[in-house]
Amino acid sequence: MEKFRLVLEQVTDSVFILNKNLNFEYINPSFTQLSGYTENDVLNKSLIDFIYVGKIFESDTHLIETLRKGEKWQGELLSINKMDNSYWVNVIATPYKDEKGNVEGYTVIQQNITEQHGIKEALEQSLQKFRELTEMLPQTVYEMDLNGIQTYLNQAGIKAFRYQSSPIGSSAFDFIAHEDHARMKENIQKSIVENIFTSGNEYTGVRADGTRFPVVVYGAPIFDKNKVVGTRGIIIDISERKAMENALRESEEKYRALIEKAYDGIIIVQNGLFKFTNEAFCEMTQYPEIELLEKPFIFTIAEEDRQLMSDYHKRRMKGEEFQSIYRTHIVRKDGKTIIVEINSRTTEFNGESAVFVVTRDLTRRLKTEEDLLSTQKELKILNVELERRIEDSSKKLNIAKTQLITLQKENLQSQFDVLKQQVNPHFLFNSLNVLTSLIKLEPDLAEKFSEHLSKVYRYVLENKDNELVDLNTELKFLDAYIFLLKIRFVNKLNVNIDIPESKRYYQVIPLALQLLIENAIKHNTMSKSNPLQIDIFIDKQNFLNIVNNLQERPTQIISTGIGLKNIQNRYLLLNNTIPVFEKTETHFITKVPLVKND
Amino acid sequence: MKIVIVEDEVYAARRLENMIKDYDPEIIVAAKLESVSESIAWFKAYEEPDLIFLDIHLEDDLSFAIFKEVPICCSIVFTTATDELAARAFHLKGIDYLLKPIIQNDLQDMIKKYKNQPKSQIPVNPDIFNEIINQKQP
Repeated sequence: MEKFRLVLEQVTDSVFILNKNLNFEYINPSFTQLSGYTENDVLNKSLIDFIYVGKIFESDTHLIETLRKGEKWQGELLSINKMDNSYWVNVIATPYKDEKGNVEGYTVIQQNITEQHGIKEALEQSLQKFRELTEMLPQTVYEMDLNGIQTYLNQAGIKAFRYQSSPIGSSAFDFIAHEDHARMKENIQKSIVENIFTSGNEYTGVRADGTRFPVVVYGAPIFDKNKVVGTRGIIIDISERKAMENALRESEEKYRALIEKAYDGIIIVQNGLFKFTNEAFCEMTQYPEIELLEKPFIFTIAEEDRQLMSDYHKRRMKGEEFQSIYRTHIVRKDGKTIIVEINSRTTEFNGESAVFVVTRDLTRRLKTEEDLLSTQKELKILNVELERRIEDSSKKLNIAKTQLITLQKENLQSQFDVLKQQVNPHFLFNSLNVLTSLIKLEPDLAEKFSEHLSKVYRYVLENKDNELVDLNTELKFLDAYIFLLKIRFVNKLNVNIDIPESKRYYQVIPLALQLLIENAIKHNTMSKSNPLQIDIFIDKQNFLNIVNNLQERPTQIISTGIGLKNIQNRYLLLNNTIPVFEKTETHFITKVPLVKND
Repeated sequence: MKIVIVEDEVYAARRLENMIKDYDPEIIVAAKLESVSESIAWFKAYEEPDLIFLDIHLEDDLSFAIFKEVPICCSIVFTTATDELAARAFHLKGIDYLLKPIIQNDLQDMIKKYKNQPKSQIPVNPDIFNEIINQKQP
């Protein structure tokens, strides 16, 4: 026993022995040094009354209860020294028993761990602070152990995942969609093994009610004494961000599609380099996109245009905003030069000045224009050829026509000559008959009759070869002719001529009116009671009308109609509108066209 | 001797009448008719004369139309200024005619020829003029 006593006196650990009633029986010097209590202070006094003041930790009562049951207790205890200062000890209390196994007392070995405990307490405090802080965070903060069991979730997390109360103890995998589980496991393992802070793993979060939402998780391993015991991190709801991203992507896709499908080449150039090229531009230049992107744009420009392009580009890169449209030459990959219309404006790309350029290949347009021109030329040639052929055939036609007309003319002329020869003797004998009658009966009238007859005959002789004669001249002749008729058919014939002075210088064929009057007399009866009425006037259509009332003779001498046809043919020879003849119920109307006197 | 003049031209009729009276003042010009209708009416109303000077072309129709309406048995001398073809046809058929203006001697010959000729009992057949009518006129 003495040996043990000596050992106990020497050890740095504080040691004391309690009897079975937990009263102090022995204390070593180290205990006195640690607690400040001497043997006089504590011997035969109860551990309960003496040492344990305040119940800071559950372990206090646990210790007492354990010892009373006669069992061993090991743990950390907060104790109070004689100066009322607390200190932490690591306690091993072991009951000792007699031969029968009854507990006789307890040996208690204490190790001062106050120093370690101070650190731990500080840690605890900071942890507490951290906890309080995390509770206030708007983001979800979680902790989980290596088995994936949720060990902590802050208020924001409970709310975000729509739990009624803290879901601690449930699997962390319940919070993430099953399709993401494999990736999540991988990420956690990687984080633990490589001891890294995982940044921004995106998963689909699953709420208590089963609804889903996109999240991004930032996680880091939790260490305990250099050993990983779990992970903790932040979960951020990125629904809004996702929605925005989607909207942005959609609109980007739209614009991209638009730009990609554009007929015009579209490029973005920044600091002299291609930053974007669409399909049309690649097609235009024959360069694949990969050979353009990040390469200087100037190498696609023809030598002579480079200075200008370069100057413009420098101005834009300085942030000068202007728009320019001009033509330039682009050298394609195959070396061929094409003419391009360039429409550029200063823009911003990735936060810096850039040039947005729309290029239009004019070569194609110019080619089309050229094609069009050559087609037009061909058409023109064809047209000329066609016109020539038409002209040819119309010439031939004209020749044939002229020949025909010549023949007709000759034919008509002979008819006309015959007609004249026939008309004249008739008229002459009729007139001579009248004149002969007048000479004795009415010598004065006979004289006048002779004068008029001379006029008529002079006129016939003078104009028989003329194609046209002034209406005025024809009317003067007609006056003389009518004078003769009125004497021949006393009171049986009325001729009314109403031609305004203004119309008297139109032209008609000679003797036409005379012939029509003669015709009227030949085909109609005339008497004092029913005289033949002939009206001569010009209608609104500028036709000379010769109208007589219709009182046809019962026996018509069959007429060849050559008189009327003759008039028509003579107008036909002049290439003029021909006279028309119209017979109504009451009248016979002849409309003779008036020819302008050139 | 009784003569009827059928002539639509007034002065021509008057001259013919004067020429007849100059030749033989005893000859009676019973009527001067101007139209077919007037002639038909007259011949139906009065006794036939000894001789008719009948103009072919009257104011209302050809004088041949008279024969269709009234039987004429007396002697007829046709007169015409222009109907040469008709005149030729008359000549071939032995029908007498005078061309106007009538010449005094020709007239006297005609009057002489018919002055004492007995009246025929057979009226003029109007159909004999058909072919004259149907001849083409220029």
